[in-house]
Amino acid sequence: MNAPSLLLRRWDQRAQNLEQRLVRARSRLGNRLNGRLVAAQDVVELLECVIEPGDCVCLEGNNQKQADFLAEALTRVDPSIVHDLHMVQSVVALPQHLDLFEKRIASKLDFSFSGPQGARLAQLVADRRIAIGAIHTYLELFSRYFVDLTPRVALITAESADPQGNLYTGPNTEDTPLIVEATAFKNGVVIAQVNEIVSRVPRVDIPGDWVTHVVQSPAPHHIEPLFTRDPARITDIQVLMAMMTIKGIYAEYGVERLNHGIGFDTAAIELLIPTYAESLGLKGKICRHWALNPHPALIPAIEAGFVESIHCFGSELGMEAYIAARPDIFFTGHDGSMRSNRAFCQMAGHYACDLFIGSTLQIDLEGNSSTATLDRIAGFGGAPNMGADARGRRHGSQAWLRAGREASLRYGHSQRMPRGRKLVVQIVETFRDHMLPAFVERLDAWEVADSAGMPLPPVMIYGDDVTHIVTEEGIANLMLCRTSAEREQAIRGVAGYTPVGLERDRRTVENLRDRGVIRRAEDLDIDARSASRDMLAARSIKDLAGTFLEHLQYRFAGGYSCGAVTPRVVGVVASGNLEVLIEAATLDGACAFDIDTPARGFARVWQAVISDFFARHRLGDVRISINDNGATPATVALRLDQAVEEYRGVSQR
Amino acid sequence: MRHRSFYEATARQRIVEILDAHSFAELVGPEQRTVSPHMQALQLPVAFDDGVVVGRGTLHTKPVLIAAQEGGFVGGAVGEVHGAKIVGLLERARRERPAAALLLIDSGGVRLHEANAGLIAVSEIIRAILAARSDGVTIIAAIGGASGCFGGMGIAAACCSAVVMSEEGRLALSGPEVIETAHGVEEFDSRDRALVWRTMGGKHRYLLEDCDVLVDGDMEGFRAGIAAAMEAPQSLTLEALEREQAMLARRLQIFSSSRDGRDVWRTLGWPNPETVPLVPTDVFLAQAAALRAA
Amino acid sequence: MTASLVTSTQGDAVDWRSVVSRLFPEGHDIVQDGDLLTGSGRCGGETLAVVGTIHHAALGVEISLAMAQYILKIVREYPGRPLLLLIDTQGQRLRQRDELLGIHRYVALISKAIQVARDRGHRVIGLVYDQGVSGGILASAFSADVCGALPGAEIRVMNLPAMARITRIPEEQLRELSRKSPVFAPDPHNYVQMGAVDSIWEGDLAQCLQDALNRAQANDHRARLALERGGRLLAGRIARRVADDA
Repeated sequence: MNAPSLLLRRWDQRAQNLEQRLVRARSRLGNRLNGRLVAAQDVVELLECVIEPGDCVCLEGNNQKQADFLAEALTRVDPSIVHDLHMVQSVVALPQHLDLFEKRIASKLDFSFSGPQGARLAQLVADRRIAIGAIHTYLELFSRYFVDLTPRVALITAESADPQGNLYTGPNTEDTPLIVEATAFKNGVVIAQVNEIVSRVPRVDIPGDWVTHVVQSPAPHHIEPLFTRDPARITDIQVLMAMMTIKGIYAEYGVERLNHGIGFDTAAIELLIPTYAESLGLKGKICRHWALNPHPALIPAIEAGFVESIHCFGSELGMEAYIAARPDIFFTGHDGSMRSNRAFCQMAGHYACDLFIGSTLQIDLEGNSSTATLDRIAGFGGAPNMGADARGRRHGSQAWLRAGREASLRYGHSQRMPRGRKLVVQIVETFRDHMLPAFVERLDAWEVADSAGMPLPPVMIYGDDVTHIVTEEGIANLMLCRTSAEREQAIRGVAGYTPVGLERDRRTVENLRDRGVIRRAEDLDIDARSASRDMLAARSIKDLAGTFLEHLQYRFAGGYSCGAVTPRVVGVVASGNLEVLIEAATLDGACAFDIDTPARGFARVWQAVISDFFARHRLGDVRISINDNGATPATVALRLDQAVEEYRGVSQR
Repeated sequence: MRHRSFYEATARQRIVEILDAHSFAELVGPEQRTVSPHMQALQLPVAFDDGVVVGRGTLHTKPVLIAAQEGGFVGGAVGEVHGAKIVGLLERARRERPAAALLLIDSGGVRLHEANAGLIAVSEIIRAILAARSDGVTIIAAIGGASGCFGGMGIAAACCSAVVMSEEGRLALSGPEVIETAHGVEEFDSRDRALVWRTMGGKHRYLLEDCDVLVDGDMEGFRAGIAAAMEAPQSLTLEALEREQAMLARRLQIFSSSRDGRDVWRTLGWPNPETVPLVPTDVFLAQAAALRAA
Repeated sequence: MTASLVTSTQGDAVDWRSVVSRLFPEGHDIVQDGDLLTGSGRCGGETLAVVGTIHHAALGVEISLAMAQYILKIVREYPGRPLLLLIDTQGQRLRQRDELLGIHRYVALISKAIQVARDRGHRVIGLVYDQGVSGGILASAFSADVCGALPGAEIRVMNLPAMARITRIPEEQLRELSRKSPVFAPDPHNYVQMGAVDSIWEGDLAQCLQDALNRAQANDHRARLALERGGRLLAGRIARRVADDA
């Protein structure tokens, strides 16, 4: 121990600095600070006090919930006070995230995924307004929060807070615990926007003493519905691929623990579990444990008794009540609602699942797949963590060990040390929309890397991690290929009529088929002609949502009574349609709406459509009752207007 | 004025256009919210009229009672409430003795979501039709909607005094999908629309005399066809049933080896059975009349 | 009827002979022709005409016509003689040929023949002694004045797996529903509760038949029974409202 050095260096400078920031805030805001609570209009000033130039700032936002109010507030700080921020955030989703760079409040960015902002991001990078540190996978970026990208300030979002700062993050907990953990325990500032302040939160997701300030946002935070895939858009071809996957991979390996990507290909699998998989006698043998968001498409499989547990990255709008009613399946708090956790679920998907399956846009002849397209910087998200062999895994399972045995035969010489292997499956129709081939000689990712100055092409899943490729033409088991030439022919052998597929060597492909490297539908005893949407456990959102109707009520005051007496009904409760019943009611001039809808989670859309309708007609002393069957807003507005016309027509008669 | 399609119209639109203008008065209307308790229990969307509109009005100034099934709501299938409304209308007919009770059928049959209750409801409709006919009420079934007339409603239609159909109408006991599910696509390819039509469509039913009046698929065609059917009342008597039985026995003898509508039509004397689906209704009816006369 | 009737294949069906001998201890002359039963039996000093199906018969055009023909013959030749329909059917025959020939018409003829019999003073009793499914039961036992069922009988629209497929309600959920709700299970007791089956016939079947004959009435009273028994609360009330609404 070298005592004098203690005198030479202070070891609590971050703590001291934090205190200085808080003092600045207290002196500037004075009694506008109510304990931890700050009013919405004071937030910009608060940010100017607690953020210093060059800070590493995490603005919470992933592909679901967004700290949108704080994001907007940050764009309004004075760039002469707050500048050169280094943003570290999982998803660049909102326009404000990039406004920060245009306004020169921030200059550097480390992130995982950019989704809808991908094109603008690419432009800003080209204009040198943004310096990208790196594009990460989720777990990678989260890991760096605890190593070299620890946020100095975290701007997060929660459902509600109590005056002590305890936060309730509810079903959409997602990234919040991880961000707060990294920030609060390294003397950082944590500011939370909340939808409401309550005297007591339903449950404590984040303890109050980890939170510096809380602000009630003027509007609830935005949550993006992500995982609802309308089964009406699933094709017969996707049903065929799903049948082959279930029989040729899930049943074959006994896949009990898994993760699905999002998309119609995997939604088709989910919807075939209670029908096709059930008919194969696979209940209890496959698909028992999931790391997965609460996809509505999984409801039939849950109801059919296939699914035993699901841990979720995030939640899904409209699924809250369904989840709360099934605590045996989902991870829920004592308040009844779910607690998701993106970091833990990513970890679960990486280490505790035996299979990942997802769609992609392009696959090359080595089996590398990429979703990168020119002129956009989309990033990675979580798929690479799911779709990679877990080299650190040590526990055995039937599927993992069998895949390990197959992989050990790769290139013809078997390893002596047994080892397991994660199944990583790419499922894709050989042609995408507009007849774009999914199989290519060279990924667009190469050009993307060149144009954006990336150190390496953005590959979503590397070929050496992929174990199977499923197309409408069959399944290629890449683990059984003995040489790289064979591997190339195995990929060509399922690439259909794409240029890559047409270039196959027919003899080699037939030989691979004889060896079971390539398996066609008929090799699996599947009659391709039998693949039909009829087999899906649900064929529309309505079918899925049908098991839980939502009842909505609205009331608008200040309408004018039109004196009609005869009730009218227009429309029909057919699929994608609705009926509107309009009748006189004594309501003190108000207009009351009662809506039953199977499309859960669209309350805000309904409210907007109904508000506009009321503004158009200002009907009073009228009750309007609606039985909806999945109608679009345009249909709803049309039927409402038709109902008013009929109703007024009656009154004039 | 353009011709409005019966096939595409809703139940309410059909009633308005079939009956004399402004003559319709609904019974137990949607404001009474007689929704299906069984659908509610399953948390499925309900309809305020449970998919059937019933009431009274006039047709060519003659008083009629009318029920119209809404094929868009659960395929027009019959549940407890839906069935009870039709049964009530037929009981009313026994008392009021209208010129006719009109059933605009657009239904896949029993509403499976109501299972046993749906099956019983269809049975009660069949019984109510027969009881009303025994009392001398004329009951006309009109078939031309997208959901057709299937299952127990196919039996119900055959119990009515007369059946009016359009070419697009389908009348059968088992739906094509049910047959395909039971015996495979080789037995009956439900996606082969032409085959479905040749087996249960309006023209085939007319040629076999399971349909009494074949009409064009517009509202005016149905209005005229129903009015015509009302002019030829059929009573439910032992003698009438004996004649029907003899006719059906003959049908079995003549067509027992027929496998397709085209075989049947050829046997009936159509020189080019392939053309039957193509000829317009008026030409078809004229040819059919000539063949019957011959 | 000639021998063109569907031949039977089912082996596990209830033996119709034992049912018939319990129904008619005083004797009967019922004969089997394929899946069709016809004849007469004596009960309580009265002669009943009997027509029925066996071996879970699929009601195709031929057997339906034969049943209707027999009922019409009884009405013509034996005025007033009560009719007993002994029913074991898997429902209508699901074949394209039957539909081509207009099977709905043939099946409906049974119902119409029963109605004419009723109109002319015949009491009509139905007994589901094994299976009663969809179109097969609509046209027969459910068209009778009084319908009974043996305790082991099954009455349904279709089986649960098929129903799950068409309604897209998971089979598990349907199974659960059928435990709680009389709406979904094929148990004849549910049909008793819902009024469609008058009673379950147990013990002395001849006595049950006698009781049924005594209770036979021309008017359909099933909705009223359902309300009394709590199985269908709306059918009768709503029919009444439509019938009487001013």
